[in-house]
Amino acid sequence: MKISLEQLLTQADVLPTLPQVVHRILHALANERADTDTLVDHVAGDPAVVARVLAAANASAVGAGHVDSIRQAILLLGLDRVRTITLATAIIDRFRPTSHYDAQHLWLHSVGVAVCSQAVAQHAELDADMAYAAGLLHDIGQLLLFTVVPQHYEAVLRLKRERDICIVDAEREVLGIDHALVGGALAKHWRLPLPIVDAIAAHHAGETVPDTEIGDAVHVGEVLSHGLDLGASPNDLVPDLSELACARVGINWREFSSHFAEIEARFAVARLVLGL
Amino acid sequence: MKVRTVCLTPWHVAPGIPLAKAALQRNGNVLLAAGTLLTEAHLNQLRERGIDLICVELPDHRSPEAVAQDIADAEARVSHLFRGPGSLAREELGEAMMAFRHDGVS
Repeated sequence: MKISLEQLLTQADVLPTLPQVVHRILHALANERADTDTLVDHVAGDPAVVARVLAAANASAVGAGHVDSIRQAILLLGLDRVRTITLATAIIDRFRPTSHYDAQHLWLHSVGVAVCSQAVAQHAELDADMAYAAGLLHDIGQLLLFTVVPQHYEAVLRLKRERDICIVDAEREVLGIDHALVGGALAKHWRLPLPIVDAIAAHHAGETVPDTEIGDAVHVGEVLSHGLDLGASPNDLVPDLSELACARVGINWREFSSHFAEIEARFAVARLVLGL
Repeated sequence: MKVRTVCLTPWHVAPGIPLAKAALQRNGNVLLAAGTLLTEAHLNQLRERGIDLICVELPDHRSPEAVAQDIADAEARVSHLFRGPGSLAREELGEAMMAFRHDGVS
């Protein structure tokens, strides 16, 4: 079965839309209005997100007493950490109950890619929060494909297993399209900031990766997360890695390997805080 | 007693373990010196300050055969993950990962 982007996007409303708080945070990042007051204002409008963020902040601040406000959480944990906790809890909670697809595995992998993309962006002196957000959302195309054409997506997963190939190759063969393109189109449909749209669309583009800074960070971050085995799937396969993207983010793996232990630790803490 | 250096999050370390390397704050200042015997208060302090990684000394009760097996298992997993063809960049990442895993279990 071949499926077109247009066909998929007409059914995009089968997925819940992203919470407003996520839109507000991402657009604030894109507009460089990422200060404490802005974040407090954005989160305060969503009591469910406030409750989840405070629970996560308390989980990550053992012994610090009860964290009972977003401002206190920022004071204790720092603005960057509260922002990433907010994004992750809001996105994961919104999609976790809606799909029969192995959402737990998808979000575990996505958090791994977010953490790796953030580290790569920090190394390249790019916007690390934007890279984290793009990493979290990089596989939303898989969610849409599985939700709209579940039987065909099962065939994709079967082909991937049988031939031991990367997911995008199986998707292109079965559906004539891949989740990166679908995810980029969905992100555009949702009016997410352009760097995130481009990064999602480009994360499997291989040597044809277009020149998007956050796209480079997410592509390299995704491959690194597979290499570090962060999702720990028994038959995982490290996808191919673009030489061009590595050169653009200035990665020398022998030197960058000094960050591997810290990346693993950040991932372990994120799992703990997010309950994954 | 034989010990080995292991790097973990402060959530995965029990009190009573010595720090193998100084724990640094985000600005690079030393928070706790190498050799500090970690207490619950130290661990909470590290967690509160957002320090995700500390390196501690753990007793190593493994026999030489068990160490060799751990190394072989770690290498086999990296080889499995990096199976098949790929770019030179992927190959370099695989080599760096192999060295990292080797050091981690040695």
